[in-house]
Amino acid sequence: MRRAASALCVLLVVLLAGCTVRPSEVFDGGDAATGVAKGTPVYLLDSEGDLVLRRPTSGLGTIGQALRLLFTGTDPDAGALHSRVHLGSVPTALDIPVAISGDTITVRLPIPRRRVYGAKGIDQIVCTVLAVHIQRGGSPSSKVVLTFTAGRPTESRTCPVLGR
Amino acid sequence: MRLRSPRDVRAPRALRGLRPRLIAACVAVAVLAAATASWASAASASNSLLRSTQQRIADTAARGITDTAPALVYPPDTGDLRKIRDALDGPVVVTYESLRVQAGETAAITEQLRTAVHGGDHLALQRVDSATGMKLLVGMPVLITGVDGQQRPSGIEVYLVRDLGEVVRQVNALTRNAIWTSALALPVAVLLALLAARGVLRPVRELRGAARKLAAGDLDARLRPSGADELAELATTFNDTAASLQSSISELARMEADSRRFVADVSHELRTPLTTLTSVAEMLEEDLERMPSDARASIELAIAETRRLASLVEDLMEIARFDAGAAQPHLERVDVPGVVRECLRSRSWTGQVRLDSPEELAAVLDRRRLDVIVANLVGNALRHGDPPVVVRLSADEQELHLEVIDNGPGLPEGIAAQLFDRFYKADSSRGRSAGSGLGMAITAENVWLHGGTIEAGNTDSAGARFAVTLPRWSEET
Repeated sequence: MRRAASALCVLLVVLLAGCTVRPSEVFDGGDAATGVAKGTPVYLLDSEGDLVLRRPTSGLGTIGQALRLLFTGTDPDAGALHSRVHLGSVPTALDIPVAISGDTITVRLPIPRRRVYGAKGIDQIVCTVLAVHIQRGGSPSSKVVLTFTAGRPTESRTCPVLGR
Repeated sequence: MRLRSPRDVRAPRALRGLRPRLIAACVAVAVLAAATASWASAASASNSLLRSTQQRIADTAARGITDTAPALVYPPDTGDLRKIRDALDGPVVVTYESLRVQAGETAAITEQLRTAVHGGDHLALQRVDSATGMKLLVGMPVLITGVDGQQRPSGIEVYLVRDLGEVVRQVNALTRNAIWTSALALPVAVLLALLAARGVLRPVRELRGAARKLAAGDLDARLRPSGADELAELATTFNDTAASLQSSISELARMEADSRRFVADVSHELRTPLTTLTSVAEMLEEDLERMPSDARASIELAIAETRRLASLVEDLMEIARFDAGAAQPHLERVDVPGVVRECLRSRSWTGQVRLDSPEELAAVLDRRRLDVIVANLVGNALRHGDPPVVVRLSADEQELHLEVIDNGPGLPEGIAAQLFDRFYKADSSRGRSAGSGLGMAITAENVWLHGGTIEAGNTDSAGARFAVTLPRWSEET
């Protein structure tokens, strides 16, 4: 009887002592932060018409910043590379709304569709958006929808040089 | 019946009863259950609270950095590290290779955490107990994600120190609640245990009462079994046992009464022919001198046996009267030494027996039965012991003491208890003695009839000693 009683007391003490916050060893806390890069990714086209990654700045920046770089073509080292979305005199201060919902990134471009020349131009935009998105920690399997101020929006697209 | 195992003997005295043990067990179980339940819920709540708090801190930090990082130049300079630092509140250290920016008190950061962060690609967390309370350390490498999704360390590492004081307070509050809940279970458990013990122990108490009544001779003691549990079964079994015992005992009593009545009837029927036989024997005895000597021996034997038979029948009838409850003492005031002297004289024992008595000793007794007692005891002493036989009389205010002591070999070991049984003979080889075998039984019955006691034993000098104690002033009826 006495042994049972002392066992009971020990059990109660152990139970109640279990309810407190104690120091711990190092344990895993989930995914680390990301988002640094050696420059903003911008896709241009070479003479063959293939997509080429350029990093005209020294920080990753946002999708909007990357698209402005693409549209304005401010890449001093572009050399022989060219762009099919070079908008020349379009003001860079234009805001480019980007909505990310699940795996779909919807970019509302402040330009009419006719200013983008062909599928290569669409690919340039889609790849640039996806590259920034992935480098900022987004899912590599995301898809992109582009809308325009005039003309029909694109369907969900992936980048031919990035897709998984 | 032994209900307790030897182990239980060590239990505290207060816990030896069935009731305290039952209550203690009930209370222990209830309190343990309450404590376990409240502990389980408190522990689970504490755990999830702690985990969610830690995760929230880690996520906030990771989000803060991820939001800041795209604006940084890579490789970063001190200004870039400062941007990260400023994006995070509280104590923080940001390092990149040899660069280092810090804010607040960050001494709590451990080498263990740094090791885990170096080259790792996951957040590392650690709780430490610092001088200012429990802290959560967050160690975070900042990764470079390639356009193909591959990640590698950028070399930027961020360490944060976050206070867990609020969580500790909440967890302690939960624990206190658990203790209170367990404590509250105690009085409720005691109450329930008392009720349960009453329900269980009432039938046990009734059983004990009935068993005591049965032990005291009340064969009608029965229980009322209620319900269909083990205790009801026990009560039924008890009733069956009692009924069986009762029927056995009444059967035995009936058989004994039958046999006694038979003996009484037989003795009564034998008396009339025996009276005739005795008269004839007495007549023959008177003519014994004129008989031829060869016939004389046979006739003497016949006469002796007839007398013995007559005496046996008289003794049997006396015993039968005692059994039937028909024996009543005829109390009168008697001079005890006088009765004893007359008894010895009438049997011609005066020369062989020494009377050790006061000159006068009055008592209220049945004269005839006193005579029977003295005659039987003295006759027994003369037959089985050696002279001198001493009869010693003494008395105090209340009691009369009569001792008969002989000088023989004394009583054999262990027979004193059976000596007053009917037809008991100390020497089994002595098949037929002068006595009927009823003498000592009749003596004892006569003593008991007076409300006295009789004891058999040996004196220090090895002779047998019979001691009779009679109330001196029995109520005259």
